[in-house]
Amino acid sequence: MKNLDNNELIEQYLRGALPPEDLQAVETSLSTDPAFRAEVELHRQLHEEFADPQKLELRDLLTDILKESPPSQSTNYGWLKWPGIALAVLFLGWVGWHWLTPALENTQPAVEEQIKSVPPANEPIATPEIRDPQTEPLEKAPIRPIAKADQAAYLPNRDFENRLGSLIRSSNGTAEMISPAMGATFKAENGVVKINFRGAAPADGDTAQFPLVLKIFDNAVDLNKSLFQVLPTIKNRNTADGSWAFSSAQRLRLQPGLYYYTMERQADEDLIFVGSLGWSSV
Amino acid sequence: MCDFGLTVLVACLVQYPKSKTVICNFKLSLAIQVLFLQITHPFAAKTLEDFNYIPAILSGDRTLITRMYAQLFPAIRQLVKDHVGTEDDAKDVFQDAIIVIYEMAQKPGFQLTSKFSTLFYGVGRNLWMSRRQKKTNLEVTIPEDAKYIADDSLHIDSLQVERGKLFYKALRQLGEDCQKLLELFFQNHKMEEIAQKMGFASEGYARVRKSQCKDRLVETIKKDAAFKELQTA
Repeated sequence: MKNLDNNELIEQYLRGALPPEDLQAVETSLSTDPAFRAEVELHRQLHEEFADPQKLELRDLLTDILKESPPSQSTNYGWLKWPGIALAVLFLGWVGWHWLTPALENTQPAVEEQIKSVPPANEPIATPEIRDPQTEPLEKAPIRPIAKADQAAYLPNRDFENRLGSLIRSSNGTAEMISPAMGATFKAENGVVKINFRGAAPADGDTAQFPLVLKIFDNAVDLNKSLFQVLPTIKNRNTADGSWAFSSAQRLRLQPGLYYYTMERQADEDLIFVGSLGWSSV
Repeated sequence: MCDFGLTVLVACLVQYPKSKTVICNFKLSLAIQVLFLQITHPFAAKTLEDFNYIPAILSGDRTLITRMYAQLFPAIRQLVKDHVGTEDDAKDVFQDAIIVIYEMAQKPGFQLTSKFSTLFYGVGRNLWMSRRQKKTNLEVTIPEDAKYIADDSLHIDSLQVERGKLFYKALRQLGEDCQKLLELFFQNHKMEEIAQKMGFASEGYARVRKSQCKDRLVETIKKDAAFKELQTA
């Protein structure tokens, strides 16, 4: 039997079960014979690796599971499913609200008139518009102006002014907005402003797994009522500087005023960047 | 909670034809919003929960590990493919990362101080970067975030990881009897017990068979190209 004595010798040495004279011989060989030393080390590593039966079972389990492609994640709705869910529920809300519209006519006709006759963004507004973002569909570009065009619309919001810039610093860096510049002022053309939100997010597991959400608020900030929100596209994941570029080009129809935008992780809605911008009519 | 939204919604819809009041309109609107939130929130919670898979790894829970595969493999695959890797490489990294976390979790005093997905991704990233560095023999520029994780909290012996994989692969290439015998032997069962479990006539015969199987295992390992790479690493 090949190496029978050698195997037994090494095993007894590793167990500490060698008689003194054999132990002496083995230790001499270990110090003088590199091949024997390598052999003993290999046996030691084998014993160490296979000592835990659960680890071996785990490897077998993983080999079995990974034979197949990853199953579709039943709870992974991804960004494609959010619009579907949102649209379905918004449709229900719209149906419900549409059904209720006759009741509103009977009780608040003045309000109904004001909602129906909102002037375009580049015309002065004679009467204050009653804005109710709850009834606005969460689209990429609102169809009609949804904020006041008066002095109040330009008043800074103290809460957000104190939080402008990057808010979270993690070991993976911070989120940064490249565009628009903080406090940039845009001019609407025919009531529409084109703006490209571009920035960089930390290249980490959280960003990989949980989408970023860009939200816009008017200066009467209510974190539960953004004017609209969108999931920007993350690109260039292989940049070497530890961050991933994202972008979202928008055409917005808003009333002149001061606005704030936030970048959040969809996971925990922690604000990772707060910015401000304003626009005026042409 | 979902029942509440539905109840209010149905109550208002039933009440509505009789009484078109502002109060009912408000209730109906509220009910729709409550329903919206209740429908999306559990989904959001399920999608966005950061489940701690360590107990599942330690106990070998197939269902949860399969779910982990579905949830976390795409990020690993993306990482590997972004750095010149294949789907098989990604599966390797995924498997190795689980084994590394298994070993980490076994150590006394181990505590998960970040999200599991963050730890897992960090381990996977470290493993793939070391592997790629060895493959290309070029210095790989490791982004600062990975260095931070690698230096401060992740002590990954990539040689040990590769060695463990090589040993496992060699063991599973042996015949079933040899595999079973060696597993019992390495788990420190007595030869008498091994002989009994294997159905051998005597303890002496069990020793002989064990030695044969071990020789075969060592020979298989030494023939593997990966063993030579490990020797020179």
